[in-house]
Amino acid sequence: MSQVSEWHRVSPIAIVFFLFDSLRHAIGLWPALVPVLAGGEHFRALFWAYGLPGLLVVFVTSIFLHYWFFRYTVEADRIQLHTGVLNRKRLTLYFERVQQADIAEPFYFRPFGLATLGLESAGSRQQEVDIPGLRVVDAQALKDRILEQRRTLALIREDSEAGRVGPQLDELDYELRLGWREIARHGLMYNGLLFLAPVMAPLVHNMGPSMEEWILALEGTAIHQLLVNVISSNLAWLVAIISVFAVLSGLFILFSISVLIALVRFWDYRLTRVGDQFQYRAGLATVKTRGFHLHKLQQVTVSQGIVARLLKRYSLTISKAGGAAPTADGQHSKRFLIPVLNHQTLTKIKSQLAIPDGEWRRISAAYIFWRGGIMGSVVAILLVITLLSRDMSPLYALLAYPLSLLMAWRYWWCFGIYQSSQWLAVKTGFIGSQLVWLPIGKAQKVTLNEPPWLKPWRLSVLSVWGADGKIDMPYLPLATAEGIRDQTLYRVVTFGGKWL
Amino acid sequence: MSFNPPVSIEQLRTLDDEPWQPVSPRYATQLRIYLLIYGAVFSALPWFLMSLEGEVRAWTALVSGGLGLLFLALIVFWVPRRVRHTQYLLRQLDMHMRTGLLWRRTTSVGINRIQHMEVTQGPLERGLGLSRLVLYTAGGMKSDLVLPGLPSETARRLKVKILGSPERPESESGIDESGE
Repeated sequence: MSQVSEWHRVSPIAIVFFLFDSLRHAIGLWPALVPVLAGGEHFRALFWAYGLPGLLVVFVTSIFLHYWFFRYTVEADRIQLHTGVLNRKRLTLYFERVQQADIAEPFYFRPFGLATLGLESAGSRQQEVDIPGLRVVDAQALKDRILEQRRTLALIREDSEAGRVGPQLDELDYELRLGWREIARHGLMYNGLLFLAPVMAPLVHNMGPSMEEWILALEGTAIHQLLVNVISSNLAWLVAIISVFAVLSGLFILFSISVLIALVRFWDYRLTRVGDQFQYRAGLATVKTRGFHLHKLQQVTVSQGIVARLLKRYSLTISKAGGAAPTADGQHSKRFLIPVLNHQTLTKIKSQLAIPDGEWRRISAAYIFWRGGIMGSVVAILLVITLLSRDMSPLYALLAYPLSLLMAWRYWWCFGIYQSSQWLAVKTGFIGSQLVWLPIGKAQKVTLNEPPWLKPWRLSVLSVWGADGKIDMPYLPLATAEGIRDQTLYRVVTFGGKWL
Repeated sequence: MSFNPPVSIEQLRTLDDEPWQPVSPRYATQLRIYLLIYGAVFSALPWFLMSLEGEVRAWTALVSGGLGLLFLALIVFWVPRRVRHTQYLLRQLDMHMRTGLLWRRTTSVGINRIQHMEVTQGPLERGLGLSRLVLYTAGGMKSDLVLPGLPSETARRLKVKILGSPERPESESGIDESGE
């Protein structure tokens, strides 16, 4: 094999990728536009005449230069990249360290059969690398090679020529497909737009004036007289109905948008397993193929929010190393997500990942008194201040305690811990639930905390850090916590084989 | 007789029985100097803020005095106990640190999970001949083990010992970056 590495440039169509990438970064620079808005007429005229065209020229040139200076070479065990225009960077990425590989086929690449290969690596620093403009078949071959897929290059080429993407039925160990109805459920379960809710209701409420105009337009007709009579005699009811209608419309709009986003993100979701290689492929505008090798699994999270509980669905995330830390450009890494599962498919996936149906243990009931007590006291103090300011009896504040204790009891009831020779897990919830599973042998750090207020009861808090987040087991009897800690360390130090 | 007998958890010594090593007594000096500096700043702060307002009231003197006394109490009573109860333990397969008596905290890391290590010292530590040994794992910032108050030579020797341990993973090159 030649010692000299061959450096390749990506396809020129990749310029579109660099365009979108630069736009993303340029949007972050919006504060620079503030002087333009505040600078006055003369300054603005100068800006339009010279500043803006100048900026555009610089922008377009920089995109082209980024493409021109982007080169890569693939060697036996690593990829090397030369990137950057002013800030020249040479990156070396060892295949072994790659946690997750994505193939994204955005709409602008698809007509040309191109894709972007995204690689995430872990180590002391988590890093992301994108190689845009590779041919789909090359990107897949590279991804499979990196993730030690047992499919051969020949098989991949054959599939690609036949228009088949991903592993085929006869070699699959497991497959899960999600139809649009299931994906729509995910949009209902996880509405990232709910933070907009306070904005939506007033917006819809402002439909009021347009309704008024509509009524005014009917002036002089018999309907108008009827409406005026109805409204004036039922004003309070109408205001209430319109307010509720506004809130519901706002929520309806938000949830509809969320469902649409989910459909675009997860269209035609197909999860497959071949040996230890997991992969999913989904998306409408950008088709994303994400894969990882089972031994890289660091944590599994199964969540069920309130809406999900009503729909009897779950979602499952598989985390790999470094997911907790934000990357260089502040983005959180992409997780391997199975957006919607019913009870049956959840059981199947758990068995694919060798997650047992364990017996959950309870933590000490002292949790109820401490948590309920502290919550109750905080609320009681706030209530006392409020009641006193309204000249009402502060004794009502005592109501905070039974309520807080009840809530604390519910949290305690839903809190479970699990330990086996393979897994540590913590289950939390109130109405919904969240289960976090950590492979016990992959624990990074274990801390046993004995705070003074728990000492009289010989209780402690055990925290276990994985490579992507930590789990806390509070209010454990000291002997139990020490036992779990020692078991965990024992499994860690005797863990053979690759784990990262 | 089997040459590879099974090891059960019961045969492993409990952590409490192991020979924990103390940190350097000079760590007390380091802590005292930190507390003096913080104490001076925090005690003077209320008085300073009030004098900006133009009037220094009696309660300001009380708060300043109170804070000053608090830091003094920490320096006199808390520091020696803290130093006495900050200990570390290096075993063949794992590394531990424990601090505190009233609030005990024991942190453990498997040697095979250490990604890399650093021996660092600030200017004060350098003056006292002390260093910190930091063990980085793959879990991000919060999952590091920081061992303070070590004599610099001890810190370096610990690092070399752990680096040379057969339990350590091979070089953790993920992405190597160099400018051009």
